[in-house]
Amino acid sequence: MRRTAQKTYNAERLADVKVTSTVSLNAKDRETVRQLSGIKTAEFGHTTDVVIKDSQHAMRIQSNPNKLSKLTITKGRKAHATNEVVLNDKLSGKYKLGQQVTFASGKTGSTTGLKRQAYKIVGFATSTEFLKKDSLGSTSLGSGTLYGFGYVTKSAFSSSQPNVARLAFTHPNGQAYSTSYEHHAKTLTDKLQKKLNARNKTRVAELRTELNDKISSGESQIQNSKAAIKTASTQLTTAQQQLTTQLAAAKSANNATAIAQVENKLQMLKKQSSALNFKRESLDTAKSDLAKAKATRNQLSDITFTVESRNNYNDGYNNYGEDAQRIDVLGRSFPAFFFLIAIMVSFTTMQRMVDEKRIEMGTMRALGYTKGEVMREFLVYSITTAVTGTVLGSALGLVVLPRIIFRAYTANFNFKVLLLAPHIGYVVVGLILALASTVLASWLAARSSLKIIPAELMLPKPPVNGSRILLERIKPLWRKMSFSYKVTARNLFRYKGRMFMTIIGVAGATALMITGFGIRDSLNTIVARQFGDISQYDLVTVYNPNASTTAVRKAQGAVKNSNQVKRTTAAYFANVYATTNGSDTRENIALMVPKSRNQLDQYIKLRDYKSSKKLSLTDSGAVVSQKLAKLQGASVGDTINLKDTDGTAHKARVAAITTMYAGHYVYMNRAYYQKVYGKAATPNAYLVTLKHSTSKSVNAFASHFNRQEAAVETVQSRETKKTITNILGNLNNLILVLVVSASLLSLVVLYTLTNINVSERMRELSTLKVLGFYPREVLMYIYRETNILTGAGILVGIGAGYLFHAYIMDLLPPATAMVAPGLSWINVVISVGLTIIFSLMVMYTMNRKIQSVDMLEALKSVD
Amino acid sequence: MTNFISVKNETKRYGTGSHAVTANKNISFEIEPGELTIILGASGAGKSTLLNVLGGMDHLTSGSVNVNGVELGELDKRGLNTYRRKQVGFVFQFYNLVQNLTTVENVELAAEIAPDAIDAVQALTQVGLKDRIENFPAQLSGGEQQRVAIARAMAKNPDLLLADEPTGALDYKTGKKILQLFQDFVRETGKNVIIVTHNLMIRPMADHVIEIADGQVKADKRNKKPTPVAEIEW
Ligand SMILES: Nc1ncnc2c1ncn2[C@@H]1O[C@H](COP(=O)(O)OP(=O)(O)OP(=O)(O)O)[C@@H](O)[C@H]1O
Ligand SMILES: [Mg+2]
Repeated sequence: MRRTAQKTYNAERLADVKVTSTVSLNAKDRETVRQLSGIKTAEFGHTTDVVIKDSQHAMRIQSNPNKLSKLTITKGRKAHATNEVVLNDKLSGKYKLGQQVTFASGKTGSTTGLKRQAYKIVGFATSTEFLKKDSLGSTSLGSGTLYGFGYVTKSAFSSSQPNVARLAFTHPNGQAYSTSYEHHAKTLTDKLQKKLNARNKTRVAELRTELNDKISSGESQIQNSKAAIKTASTQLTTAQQQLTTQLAAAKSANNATAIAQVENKLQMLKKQSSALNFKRESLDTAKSDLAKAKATRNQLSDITFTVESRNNYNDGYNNYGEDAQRIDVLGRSFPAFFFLIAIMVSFTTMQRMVDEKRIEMGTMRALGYTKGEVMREFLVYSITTAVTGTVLGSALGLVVLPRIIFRAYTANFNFKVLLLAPHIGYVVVGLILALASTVLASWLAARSSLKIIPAELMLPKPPVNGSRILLERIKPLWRKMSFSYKVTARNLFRYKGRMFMTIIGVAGATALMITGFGIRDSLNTIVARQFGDISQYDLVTVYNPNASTTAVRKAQGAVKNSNQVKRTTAAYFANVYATTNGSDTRENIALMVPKSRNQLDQYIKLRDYKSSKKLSLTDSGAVVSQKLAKLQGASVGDTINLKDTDGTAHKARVAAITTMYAGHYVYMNRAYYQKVYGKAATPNAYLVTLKHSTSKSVNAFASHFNRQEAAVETVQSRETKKTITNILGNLNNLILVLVVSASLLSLVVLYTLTNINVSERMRELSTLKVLGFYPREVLMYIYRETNILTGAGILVGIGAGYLFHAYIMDLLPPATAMVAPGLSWINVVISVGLTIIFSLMVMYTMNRKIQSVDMLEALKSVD
Repeated sequence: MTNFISVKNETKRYGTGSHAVTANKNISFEIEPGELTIILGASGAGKSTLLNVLGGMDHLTSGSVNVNGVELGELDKRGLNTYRRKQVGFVFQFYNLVQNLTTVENVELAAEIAPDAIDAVQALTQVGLKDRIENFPAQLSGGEQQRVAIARAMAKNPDLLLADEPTGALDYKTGKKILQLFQDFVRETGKNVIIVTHNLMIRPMADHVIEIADGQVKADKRNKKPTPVAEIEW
């Protein structure tokens, strides 16, 4: 699986890191990026998010990449002219080549960042930057998730300055997803971020001086023009008054020339006053410009310059890696069981084969064949079996199964063909195990048989002699046992190896089924508990409180005045992250500081993870979600490091840990936030519960909000739900394959062992029949022990399943998800039920075999 | 006095068509209650076949076999099963003991399912193995094992005790002891014993001797004065 991804990444030269900035990159910024150490290639590009006109479909439009993160064109060609666009492959169902698509700005009062609105579609493409088919990434527009992406020429962007940079490492230190690569990527990214932070500071400082100059000159200009306008307007008024008096005087004197003169002057005065009006207007624009500049200056602190590695800028990359890891987890544990079973079965079967060939061996020896020659026959046979088995198994294991799994797994990703890796190592291990179990078994069995003299060898193998069993020595108990149970007890302990094999086989099947169903259950409970019991809101709407007052008011209004909203509460919301020592991944955290402390419980139920007691936010620390605390290894009283997007760390004390199944959260009250961050938690978000929480209405509401100028983003609860549901969908097939093969194997074990048991005890069974045992009694004579072993196997299986499930669930779910421990009794009932059904199936076939035994035939031969 | 067993025109055919082997052809004889019967014949004569039919282990092809009022030809598989269970005790040439069970348990195995069973230890005492009840078959000699098999057959307290070559695998002395057990059983309980053998010499011990040859009854003689086993030499 990883191979496939690695090859595609290499072919498209997926950027190792991506630098993004909230403002465009000027020459100096670019120089800084180019000079970063450890970077071989840097490519700058443009990116902007727009919506398709007359819809709420958000699109990410980027300039054609030439060197890094290149496109794979699936249809048509790249965009050459400024009016051409290439869309993502998935949209090829909705749009045709040559069709026009028109983009519009997603927010009122802002521009698209593109020169033109309409573009001609010239091609469709996939990109490894957008790996996931159904979730391309998040955006501040529309419903909050990208609908698609497009690539246009550089010149199609209005700004000449790029706003994104893609970088490639000089030494990648290995292939994608390898520990060495991921570690290198993480450490280097951290280093780069520090450099960029420094650059960002100077950049912001430069911008600030620039803006300050602009503002002060603007202010003095306004001052000047205000004064000028004032004098001009007083002059005008005086002139007007003078002229009006003159006009009146001239009129009463009936002096026509004078009247004409004065009227002429009045005309001029009018012109002057309109000029003055014009000046007033330009003063107004200057004033609003000034206000804008001031607002921009206010938002200077929001300017960021971030560098992210693949895992962080590329959701698909990250998810694909996690999926591969999940398969590893399952792939490591299940085969162990399969191998165990396979070894046991082939071992017993081989031994049995040698036993059955006993008379033949004796005859051959009597005819003068040497021991070695007889042995060779068995070894050739068992080696042939082992090799054939390994070849077939390898074909199945390396070609067929991966295809099934790959298809199930990559249904959500844009990978086309699976690259199969010939895992020679596994084949060799398989072959060695196969040889060991078959060849060794036959060699051991044949050797012990060959020790016996040929004459005796020609007689059938005497059955294992009866012997005392431990139970017998406990006289009071033994005496009380009914006869049939005594017999069963004896039989049980006759073949200890088989006894354990049966138990292991049955236990394995039960455990694997329990685990398989349990994985499903557990992931389902995540959804049910998180979105049913804990999280009561539909989305978080984040706006920029530093935007202009009107814009902020409008954004707030979009939430507060909406008739879609059932209830809402204001809060401070921020995306932060935490890292763990020794791990290269970031845990993304949502930091929330509610404005009103008693309303939070209506939106999110904070409950102690141990006592389930209601938690409230205190001045002494933060409430941290359970999985985050676990990943951080933090318990109540410890501190954790919360990092801003630019890497600045803040220490927060864990005051309580809350049960949370999906996502990492940190909750603080305002006082504690002030203490940790040294600034006030100005509300910038609303937790919103809608009247209808269908995806349609949530999307519509999010789109409505995101159109606002001050809107920053919307975070939908449904998205997390979708992620988990997707994983669940992917896992289902895999689990099915595993559970079915586990059950089949157990059936095989049960069948083989019972079959051997019955074959070896034919004589005994015939004797019982002659004595007049009814068919049922004969069956039970053999099956009472099998049933007891099956029962024991089931019990062991329930225990093992419980542990195995806990182990898997520790590793399997996404890092952000927390799994409810324990299994549902329904699961246990189904698994146990299926195991019982399987053993009944075996019992049914065995019964037919037992009943068809010809008692007379069996009793004819010698003992 | 009515007959305990009456066989009329009993025929047993194995297989069908051209491969059919007729092991018993129109066999008829009568056996009175309390008789020790010996069925004699050469190898392949059809003795075992006859015994198996009498013991309800095989269906007869045609004719009629009536044992103690039970018409065997009319019984189905399950009927024969019940008949075996309640009325017949079997002893084979090869003892067919369950190796994994002790002597007493092997006898209990039969006693468990029979309605009027006698105690397993008592049965073993009768065959002189009281001291060996806790031993496993592998710890016993062939003769001792056969005695356990007889005890197992007797423990069911059957109306009819059938033995197919019971001394076939035993030496002269041991064989004699075994035959003695059968004779004692008939005398003490008044029940019926049928022994199949190809050993002509033991004829004198029986009350009734039926000779079979080529699947047919060759001779059917009653012995007015049977000789005690101890006095027979061969
Ligand atoms: N199950 C069978 N299918 C076909 N033929 C059979 C079967 N059982 C016995 N026969 C045939 O029936 C005939 C009588 O066999 P049976 O075993 O009754 O002989 P027997 O008198 O007991 O011989 P022996 O003293 O050797 O035991 C033989 O020819 C035998 O081959
Ligand atoms: Mg015979």
